[in-house]
Amino acid sequence: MSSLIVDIQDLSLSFQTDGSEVSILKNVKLQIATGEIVGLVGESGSGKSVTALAISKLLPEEITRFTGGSINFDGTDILKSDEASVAELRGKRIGFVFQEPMTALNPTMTIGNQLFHVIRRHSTLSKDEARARVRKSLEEVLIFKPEIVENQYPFQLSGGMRQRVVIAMAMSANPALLIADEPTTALDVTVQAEILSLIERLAKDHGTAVLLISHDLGVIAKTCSRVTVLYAGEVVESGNVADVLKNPRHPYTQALIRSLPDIAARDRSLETITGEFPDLRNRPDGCIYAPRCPKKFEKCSQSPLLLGINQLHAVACWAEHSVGGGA
Amino acid sequence: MNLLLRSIRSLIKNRFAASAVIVLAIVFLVGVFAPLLATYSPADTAPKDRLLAPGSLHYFGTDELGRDIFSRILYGTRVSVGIALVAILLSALVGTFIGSFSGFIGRWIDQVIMRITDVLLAFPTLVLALALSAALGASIVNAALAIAVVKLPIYMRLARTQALSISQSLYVKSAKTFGVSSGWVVRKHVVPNLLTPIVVQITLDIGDAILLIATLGFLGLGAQPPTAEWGAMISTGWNYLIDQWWYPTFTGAAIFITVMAFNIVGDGVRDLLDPKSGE
Amino acid sequence: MSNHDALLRVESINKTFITQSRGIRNENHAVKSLSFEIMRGEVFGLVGESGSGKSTIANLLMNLETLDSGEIIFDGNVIAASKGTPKFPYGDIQIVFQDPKSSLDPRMSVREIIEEPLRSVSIDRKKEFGSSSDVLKLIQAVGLREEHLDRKPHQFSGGQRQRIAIARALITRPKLVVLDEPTSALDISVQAQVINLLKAIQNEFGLTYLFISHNMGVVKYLCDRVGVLYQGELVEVETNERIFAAPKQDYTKKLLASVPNMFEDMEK
Repeated sequence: MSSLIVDIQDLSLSFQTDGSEVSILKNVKLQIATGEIVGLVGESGSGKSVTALAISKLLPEEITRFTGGSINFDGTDILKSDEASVAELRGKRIGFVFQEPMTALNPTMTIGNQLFHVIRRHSTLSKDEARARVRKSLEEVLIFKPEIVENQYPFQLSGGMRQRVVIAMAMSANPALLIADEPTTALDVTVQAEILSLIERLAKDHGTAVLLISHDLGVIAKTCSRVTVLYAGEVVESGNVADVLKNPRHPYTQALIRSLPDIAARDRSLETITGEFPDLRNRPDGCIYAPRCPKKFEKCSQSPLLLGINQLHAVACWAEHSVGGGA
Repeated sequence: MNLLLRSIRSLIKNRFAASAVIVLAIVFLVGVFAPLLATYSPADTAPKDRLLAPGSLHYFGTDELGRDIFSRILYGTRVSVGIALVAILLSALVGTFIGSFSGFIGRWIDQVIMRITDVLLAFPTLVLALALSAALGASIVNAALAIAVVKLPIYMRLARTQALSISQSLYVKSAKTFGVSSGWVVRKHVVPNLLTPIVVQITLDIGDAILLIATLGFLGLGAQPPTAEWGAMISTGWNYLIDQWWYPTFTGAAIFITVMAFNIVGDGVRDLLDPKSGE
Repeated sequence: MSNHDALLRVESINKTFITQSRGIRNENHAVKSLSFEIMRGEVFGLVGESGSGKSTIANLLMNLETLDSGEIIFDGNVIAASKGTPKFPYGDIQIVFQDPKSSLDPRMSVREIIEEPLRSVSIDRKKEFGSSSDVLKLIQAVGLREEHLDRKPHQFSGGQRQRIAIARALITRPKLVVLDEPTSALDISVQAQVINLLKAIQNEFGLTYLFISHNMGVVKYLCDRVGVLYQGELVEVETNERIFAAPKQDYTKKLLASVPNMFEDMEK
């Protein structure tokens, strides 16, 4: 773990709207090493996209208040850096792929020109060299007729092809980190499979660290080596994908997996999570999941720490630690 | 009820808008109770009292015919604000009707109607209003008509776009699967959802209409003497600006404050009626 | 099961959309001589990717589009055909759409929304099911409370809105409910609640479902039989057990293999 690209420690932040303060993240811890694909899962309101945007300070400045912790990106303390130096990182050292490829593409420019501009901005290549690079980047994302696609406009491409182009743009400066926020949610399953293996292969070839955000546990299982589970802005569990998904220890992760219909017996009801999502305007003290938790006991009125069960698996739950480690 | 509570709460939050609402309320009351508040009749001339400075007898002074400017401004509220309201409401009503019809029916009718709005929008507002009221003849009613016509394409376009997007919405699609009539769809789905942006546009346009009326009046195309109308009053008053500053100044201030208040309230209403605001 | 047990019979229907852009005529054969039937009390799944014709089939069934050829027979009566003007049994077939954010009119109260389908059913039926006690029963059946009836859609979460849409579909006591990706816009834990609800009301109200989805997990859990659509054609129709255990067609195999399954994909 010596080559950490992203090291987020105890990150807390809130949004201020209409005079009230909403706590979005609390003590979030996330680490990504070179060449590693880390998954971030959670339901709506869990703060997974906010976490990703915080790494490159892309959150709306007027309403965001960082209340604690730190974000270290490849040796740079992001929260202490000024806007200019963080802007320098975006695109060059950190690439982005979002759910909707059209938001990242300029509808009035050909694919070739867009890539050309991105490559020129982030490198010192000459015009001819950059032209050649455009071809190469398109080939690298398995677009088989780059000479045709180059001259096409985004609307002429299918959703899967557009997402390939976006990935080519994100990877063109050879970033140290690729943030992929629900990159395949808008795509068909057969296309999704292709895009996911493309991301996997690029990460491997270039040694790029990838933060893959998804609500789909199947996508995480297929692509990632480690996963972090967020609930209401707090990390409830993290570790190796196999450990966390096959042997979940936090009651929330357990309930989430059990509520999937995939392997449920058809004659029985699906398990559900009772109770309601917490009101983050007044983040409750103690364990955030306690109000909905079947295993709740007295100790849960205090905030649990994210402690390791073993070297590769950590969980923030008192029930686990009092049984396992006697906390 | 809920909306009312929400309105009050958000207006209090926005003190700027709240004070504008109070100003508007005063303007309306002044218009309604002008006969009670006025100290003189707006048309009574008194040749020996001409061009008096503001004082305890004439709060805002008198004009070149000795008429009380304070009373004339009060009565002028009725004309300026009243005519602006009538013109804009007329424009909104007709424009919304034609526009939503156009958006719904589509095809060649839509094409024809939209080309007409293109032509209307190609002229600068003021030029078109001037040409129309000059052609119709100088009177306050014709000025109102001219303003209504000038504003018409705005409402036609707005209503058309809205009707188009509402008729393609999933809730209208759902309603169609229930087999309800088109009349029901229009009444229960299209009109209520269309109204919000139209109301916002109305509040934003009234201030503009007051200015247009005043401009037409200033150029002699609106209200005719001896009607007390702000624009016409400034038109004669500005000759006296150097020596009798009070004559055009108080009238100008009345226009400025009223238009400003309408614009601020218009912005407030827009924020308020946004369905995404509030919880 | 014999033929007269079928509640819905779709017989070689065709639908082509013709669009014209910049003078170029574009024909899209969205549904190609498609036939299938749905038995009473069954959950029939239709799976396929974008462009497979899923939504066109839903629109044809709901009388939102007209057929080019073929016919649709519901409960023994022709309800859609290329010739003549068949009478559509409004109220007997209902649909629940994917996105509950836009399928409910933001300006209407929940009560108005739920009662809307009663507009075009017979007076008798309206009397039978339109009473406020019936509306109350319905809103409780989908897991909401009486005080919710006077609220507007924006005051509810996505899962709650989908419950409202389900209650609205049930008010006319339909025989067939078309579920068009009803859980795709919802979180996993909310999806489980809505699926449980769909199962519970199926028994309670004696419903037959046409379940349109791209989510294989949900289809596997909910559907008795599954039809696989590819580019407007039904390539395979099989029972749940057979289609997932032994798919016959290449496309079905590819589709099933593409679905990332967390219970199988964790060899890392």
